This record gives sequence, structure tokens and C-alpha cells, in this order.
Amino acid sequence: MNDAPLVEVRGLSKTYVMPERSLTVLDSVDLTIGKAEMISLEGQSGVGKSTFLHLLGTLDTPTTGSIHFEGRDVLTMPPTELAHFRNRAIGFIFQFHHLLPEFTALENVMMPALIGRISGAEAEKMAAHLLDRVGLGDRIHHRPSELSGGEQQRVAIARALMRSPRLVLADEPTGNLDQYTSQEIHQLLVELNEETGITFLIATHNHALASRMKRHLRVESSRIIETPTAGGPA
Amino acid sequence: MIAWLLVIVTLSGLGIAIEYQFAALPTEMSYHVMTALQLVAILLAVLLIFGFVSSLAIRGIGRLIRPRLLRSYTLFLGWNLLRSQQTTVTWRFRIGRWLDSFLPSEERLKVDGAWTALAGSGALAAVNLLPKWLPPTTTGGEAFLDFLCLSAAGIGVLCMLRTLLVGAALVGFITRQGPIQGDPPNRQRIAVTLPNFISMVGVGIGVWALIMVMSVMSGFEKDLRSKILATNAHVLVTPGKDILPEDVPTANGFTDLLRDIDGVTTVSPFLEEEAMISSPFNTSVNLTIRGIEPNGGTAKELATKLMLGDMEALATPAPRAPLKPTQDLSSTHFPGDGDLVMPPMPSPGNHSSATTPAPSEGVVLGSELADSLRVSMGSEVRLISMDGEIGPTGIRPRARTFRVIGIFQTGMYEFDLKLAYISRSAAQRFFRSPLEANRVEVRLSDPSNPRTTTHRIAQNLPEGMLVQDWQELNRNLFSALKLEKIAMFLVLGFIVLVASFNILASLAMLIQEKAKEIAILKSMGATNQGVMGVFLMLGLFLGLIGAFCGTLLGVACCVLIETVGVPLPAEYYIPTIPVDIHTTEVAAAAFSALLICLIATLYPSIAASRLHPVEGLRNE
Repeated sequence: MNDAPLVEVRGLSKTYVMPERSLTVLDSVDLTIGKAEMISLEGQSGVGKSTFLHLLGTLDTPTTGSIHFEGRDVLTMPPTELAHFRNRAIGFIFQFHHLLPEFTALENVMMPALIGRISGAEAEKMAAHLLDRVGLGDRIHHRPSELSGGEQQRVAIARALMRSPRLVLADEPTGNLDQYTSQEIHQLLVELNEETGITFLIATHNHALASRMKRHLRVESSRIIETPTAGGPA
Repeated sequence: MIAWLLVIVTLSGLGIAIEYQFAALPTEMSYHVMTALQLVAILLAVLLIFGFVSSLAIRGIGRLIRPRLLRSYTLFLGWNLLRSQQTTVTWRFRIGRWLDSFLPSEERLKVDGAWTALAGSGALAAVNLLPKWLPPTTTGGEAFLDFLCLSAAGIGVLCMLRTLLVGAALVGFITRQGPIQGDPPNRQRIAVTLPNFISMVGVGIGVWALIMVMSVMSGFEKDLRSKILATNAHVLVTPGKDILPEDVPTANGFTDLLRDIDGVTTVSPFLEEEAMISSPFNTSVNLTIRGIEPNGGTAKELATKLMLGDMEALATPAPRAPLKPTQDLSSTHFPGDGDLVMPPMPSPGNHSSATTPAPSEGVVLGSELADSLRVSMGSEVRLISMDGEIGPTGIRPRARTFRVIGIFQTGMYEFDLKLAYISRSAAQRFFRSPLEANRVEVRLSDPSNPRTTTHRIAQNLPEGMLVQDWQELNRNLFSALKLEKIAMFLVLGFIVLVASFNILASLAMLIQEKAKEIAILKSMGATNQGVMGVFLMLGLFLGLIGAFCGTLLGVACCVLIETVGVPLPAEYYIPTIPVDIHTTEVAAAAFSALLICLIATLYPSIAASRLHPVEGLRNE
């Protein structure tokens, strides 16, 4: 089982059925993602990048197809097991960071560990270490509203890494940041990939970030195609 | 905490001062103003007290569960969603320079605040006390007193305003002059969000009202029970319809049969009949005459309730006042035992005569009866038995004169109006009863549980005797009280029900607002049950704190009413509002509120757990 690819997607389709018509966002997508990869996912707005990430992260269910994670079919898992799987194996980074506003940076980062029933003291220690790693060691007791956009995204990155997942799905993590802060976040993500060996699949419009990845994917006409360079043709 | 206390003290002081000032003006205007002010004061007091107690409860519960909070994310999230730091931030505003000069230095806020509150309360109290201390003796003195009172009122109001300012600064509602610092990074979560606070207050008021009404009703019931038990038999023995008079034991026979039964303390056979009573001023029908042993248990019990007189006089007939020689005996002499003719009533004051009639028996009347007959100690009254003989004009009532030798007060209007006691021998002669006693009053060592002893008593008596305990005798009364209590519980429970809808609405809104956060939680691996648990916990905390505050205030108010004593008008026949706090009732009120809150939380919690994470993330 250890030799199996990290993620194996076969014939994945997603169709939204609306009263007047149906809309196929992804159609028969086949994809294999290996361990410790750093992959960019590009495409125009609304082509289905977020949908693909949601399907991979098991937040949504496909119309057809299968997703195998380290050889296990995740779509057949019962809801509770799926939730545990998400907690253990997947980390999410969203464009608008989506931190819980009532909680401090430390508490936000601790949250996945608390959900995973890690003891409070241990979770606090791990969260403090991760926040220190992303450069926020002195802001751990600040609430999201007291942090800048870049700092908030760093907290979100720390939160995604809290349970040492095998796959981190980032949906335009720098889409809401200025160029300088974006570069800082890019650098951080690359460093974390190298340090931890965690696979990163990053949906982005930012060619600079995409060009730093070793593998490039593009969503086009409801399909995912591999491109040799960031933003380049198939 | 001190700030809340200061605010409460200040407003109470102001309220009392205003009340005193307006109460002095007996005009319609002052009545309306007073009513409006009282309503505002009650509303403010409820909000302030709940603000204070809930803040206290949150801190207390927070400290208690802090070590456990991080063990479960449902508990952690539920607890933190309950509280908010927003309240202190949005209400904060900077004071102007002129107000700033009124504030003491930062270090002396608490001490100066306390002193100012004390001085203010003293000054306002002085407004009401000065006229008593310095009664104006001259014309100039009155003006001087007015000046003193006005000055004290001015000082008091200023002190109270300053206390309010200090309290607001302590709570953090206002900040001092100076450069704007921005939000401090380590704000304390000292408050709950406004919707949560409103829900909590609703639950609390419901529980508060429930506990107070239940306790007062229990107090009335307890008072009634104690009066019934003190005046009436714990177990009453009466001859049944089928028993022959010769089979009914004598008075001594009853005593011999029952006195050795376990649980029986006293056995008092007596003769009870219905009669009329009249005095020179009034007549009363439907009177119950009890012929008792002057030295028996009932007499001893009655002696404790005597306002005037002595029970020993019941045993010895008092000599009657001599009649005037000129007076026609047929018109003044009350016919004695066996007379079948009702003579006309004498006019008052006709008893100072030289002729001495036969001594009259004594009667002990209830205070209300004595009042209604307008008689007092030593007065003569006439008892009229309806069980007369048939003559040419129909039934001729039998009448006899008795002298009032005692007046008792049981505290029960019905008893004090409808009961009179004479000696058993006099009763037997007057009613011409073949029985020495047609009732036996049995008193028990434990009247709260009379069933077993009642059964033993019945076994010791001849067949045909009816044995009823006080619960059976007063079943209708206590059933009505119980029914009334249940009805009140249900009606007041609606307050909690309405409050629970408040919780339902605020949680439903919260879930709409937090759809994104719910989606994030699910993306982090929270299960549907976990998300449901978060909102259940939130509802549980709301119910718990609301019920806790309500219980605390309810019990505190009951204890206060019991200790201080709220006087009731004389017509209620109870001097002060009786309160009897039952632990089971308090627990039932708090538990039912908690249960209703939990049920109200179920629907929004299930709705939250069913939220699709992608929907939440998409609605950004």
C-alpha cells in the first residue's frame, strides 16, 4: 500500500444540475499525484479549480469517478470516517484564510488538533511551534482582526499543517495579497514542501508562484491537462 | 465586578430618592410618574442584576471548566461562541475633556468610586432623614431645612453621577483622554453577545418567576396546613350511619381504646353540633359548637390561641349578673336549659340588676365571631339549637344563655367566624344528646404521614365508626391548591418557553451567520455530530447560565421576602407574604428550563450539522 500513489483520480466528473440546464464542470478527469510533489493548478476563473480541490478534499462528492488516497477509495468511506480522514490526511488553505474570528491565532491553529482529540497542552505546544515557524511567534494571542492579510494567511498555513497531513490543498492562497506579501507566502510554501515532504496542490492565477512548482496542471474545457510550464500550452 | 456593584448601588439610591420625593406628592400626576418610574426601575434592575450575575456566572463557570475546555472542541467552541469581546469594544467611546476632569486617576478608580458611591448614598439618605433629625420649629427654620435638603440632594446626585462615570470607566465603556491606542491585543471576553444575553435573561426571568410564585404558593399552603392541623383533628372519629347510639363508646371509652396506639399523642372526645348564636346586636347562623373537656387536649391546644380569657373558666359556670328588680324576667332572662321558648333579646346594659339568676355556662368564641356579634369578655350570648321540639306553631328552637369567657384566634377566618367552644357536659345538656361524644379528635406525633396510624385507630374501634385523617377531610381544598400550583407552573413555564424560542431564533441566526465557519470546521475534520455538539453546548450554556441566574435570584428574593417580611393587607388574614422554598420545586424549575432550552437548541443544531461545507465556502 505504501507504493501506491498519494492520490489517484479516475474518470472524475462533476455536473451541477440546475432547473433549466445542467453544467458539467469537470468531465472524466484522470490524474495521479505522487508524494512530496509541489503542483500548480491554473485556469481561468470559474473553470472548476475550486471544485476539483473540494472533490479531492472530500468536501464535495463527484457525479461519477473515483478518488483513491494511498490506495483507499475515499468515496466509499462513511461520513464519520471521512471526517477523520480529512482531519488526519488533508490540509486546506483558502484564498480568504477563513480563520475563526472569535479565536486567537494560537487557538485557530490548535483547532484541527482539538478536533483530532489531541490533548490541549500538546496541541498548544505544536501550534505555538508552527506559528513560530511561519514567523508569527510574537502574535500568537492576536485575533484575526488584529493581524494583516499576510499574517492571517500564515496562520491559515500553520493551521493546514497542524495535523501533518499528506496533502495540502491551497485555493489561491495569495489571491488576496499584494505582490511582496505573495512572494513571502510563495517562499514559505516552497520551504515547507522541502522541509516536511508534504504534497502541495496549489490553485493559482499567479504565474510567479506557479513557475516555482515542479509540476503544472491546467483546467481547460472541463478537463485537467498537464503543461510543461506554468501557464503554458498543453 | 466592583463597577457593576457601583452602578447597581447608584441606581438603587437614585430610585429610592426619586420614590421618596414623588411619594410625598399625593396627586394623580405623581402616581403616573411613580408607576412609569417603577417600571423603568424594574426593567433597569432586571437588566443590571442579570448583567452582574451572568458576568459573575460566566467567570465562575469559566474558571471551573477551563481545564476541561480544551479536552473537547465542542465544549471549547460552544463556550467561546457564547461569549464575545465585541460588547466592550463597540460601546466604548472617549469622554470629553470636561468629563475627564471628573475622573480620579487610574490607580484610584476603584477606591474613589466606592467612596463617592458611599457619600452619594449618605447624602441622598440625608434628604429623607434631615426633616426627622431637625424638625423646623420656626418659620426661618423651615427654609433652612429646605436649603439643607436641597444641598444634600444636589451633592447626592452629583456623587452618584460621578460614581456612574467611574463605574463606566472601570467596566471599559469609556476611555480617558489621550492618543487613540487601537484595540488592545489581549482583551478579556467578559461579556456574552447581545442575542445570547437576551436569551439568557429570558430564561432567567422565567425561572425566577417560577421559583418565586411556587415558593409563595407553597408558603400559603404550608400556612393553611399548619392552621388546619393546629385547630382541627389530625384524625377525626365519627359514628357512622349504621351504628346504634348504644354501640358508640363513651368519652372515657374512646380514650381508653385509642390512647395507647403508637403515634397517637392525645385523644379528645367531644360533642359537635350545629347551632345559631345571637347577641343583643347581631345573630349568626351556621355556627359549629364543640363541647370539649375543659382539661382535655383540645382545650389545652385552644388555650394557646386565646387572645382573651382562660380555658379553666369553661369548667366552672360563672354567676350571672343580677337583674333589676323592676325588670320583667320574661323579657330579660335568657331561658335556661330545657326552655323551649325564645324570649325577646334584652337591650344592652340591662344586666346590672339586683336579682341574681342561675349561673351561666361559659363559651369561647372565635375573634371574628365575637366581632360580628359585637361582644367581648363577660358578655352574654344565646345559643339556639335548631333541634327543637314540635309545638303547635311548628319546630320551636331551644335556646340557652352562655357567658363569653374567652376569645381565640386561629388565623383562619373560617374557623374564627364559625367555631365556638363550650364544655362537653353543657353541650350534652343543651343538645340533649344521648351520646357523651359524637366526635373524637386524635392528635398524632407525626401528622405529615397519618395513614398508618389512622388504620390502627380504625382497627381499635367498633365496627361502624368512621375514621378520617386530616388529608382526607380536606382533600378538596388541598387538591384545589395542588391543581392551582400545577396550573401556575405551566402558565409561568410559558415564559421559559418563549425564552426558548428566543434561543431558537438567535441560534438559527447564528448558524446562518456562521455557515462559513461551520464549513471550515468540517474541512478540518469536524463530524456532523461534532458540529451539532458545538451548538448544543452553546444552547446548554445559555440555558445553564440563565437557569443558574434565575435560580440564584429566585431563591435570594424568597429568602429576602421571608427575612424582611412583606406585609399583607389585614383582609388576607396573614400578616406577611409566607414563603416556603422547596428544593424539589426549585430543582424542577431550573431543570425544566434547562430541558426546554436543550430541546429548543436541537433544531438549529441539527440544521448546522447538515450544512454542506461547499455551500458555506461558496457563500463567501
